[in-house]
Amino acid sequence: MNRKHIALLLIGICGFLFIQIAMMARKERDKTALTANSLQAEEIAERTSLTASATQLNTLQKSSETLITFLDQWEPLLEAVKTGDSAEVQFISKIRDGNLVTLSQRFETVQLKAGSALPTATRAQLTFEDNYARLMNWLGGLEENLPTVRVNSLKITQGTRPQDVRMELTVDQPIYRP
Amino acid sequence: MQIPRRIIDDFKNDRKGILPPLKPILRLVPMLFYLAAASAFVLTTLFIVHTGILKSNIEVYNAGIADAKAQIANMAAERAKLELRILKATDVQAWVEGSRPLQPLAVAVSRSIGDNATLGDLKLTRDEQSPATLTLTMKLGSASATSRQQLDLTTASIAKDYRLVQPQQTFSQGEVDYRVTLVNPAQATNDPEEEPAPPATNTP
Repeated sequence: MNRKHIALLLIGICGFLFIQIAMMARKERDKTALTANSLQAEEIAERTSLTASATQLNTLQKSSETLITFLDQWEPLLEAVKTGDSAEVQFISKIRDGNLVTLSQRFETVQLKAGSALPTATRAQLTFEDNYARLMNWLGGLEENLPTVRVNSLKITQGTRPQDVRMELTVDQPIYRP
Repeated sequence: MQIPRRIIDDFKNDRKGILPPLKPILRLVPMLFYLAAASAFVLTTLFIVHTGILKSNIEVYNAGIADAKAQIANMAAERAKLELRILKATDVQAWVEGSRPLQPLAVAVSRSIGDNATLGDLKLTRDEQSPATLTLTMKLGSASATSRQQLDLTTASIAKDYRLVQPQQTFSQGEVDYRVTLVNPAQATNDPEEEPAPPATNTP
């Protein structure tokens, strides 16, 4: 092998290296293209998922519109009584305002439904003996002014005096968990 | 004066160390070298440019994916919040529906009592499982001839607002013990299978 052969060999090696460089660039391009295609597919999938989520949310918003409006109307009334103590104070205030003959009043905290928006309630067990009309007016006022209370039981019997009646009430005031 | 080329050539000595020429086929090697160099340059440039475009696309796709994921997360959070509100609203609605005032009912019963009758006891109790359902128990006193009429009047006044289910009445010496379950009509329409039960009269 003489110098001309060596020169040819070197030229051949250089040419081969050039081709290799081009091949490496192509390989890198292919790899990048593969990643780009995969990401493009992922983006399309995410956009599709986004559209589906938006549709579901929209449907849920429309279907629950009445219910949410209902809650918006009632929530301020429920939030007005945040603790058992405030519920008790509220009951005592109403009884005092009624100026009725109160035979007994007892308050306790009862469990309603664990995990719900109204988990507990303050239960008032009240016994009055007074004029029938006064009692009925007071009860009507209670249910009207405190629309969130629930009268669980109402018992009206003859009072000690002929013109009086005895009214036994069990009233629950729910404690709202916002 | 010009000397002919042939004569000059004749003066030349034989040059030492001159290599023999290569085979003609090997002339292809430098030609292929130039071809490879030129094509490698062109192709590499194209591949690099294309790779750059693809990389910028990847950035766009990544940004799009991140944006979509963020929006999905926002929507999921909004949906969770809305579902929580719906649950609360359902609880509150159930409470409110089961808290229908009793005073109007008690007043209606009292007002239905005629001059010849008396209302002994009146008891209204909510069902614990279904608070919209009430149990009414009352004791009516009247002359035996009018007790049934009085009861009809009273039940008619109740039936304006409630559906009467399973009434039980016991007539005894001018007194009527009456017990009935009162169902909220709004609730009753949600339960089409429950039909009004026929009145059950227990007369001793």
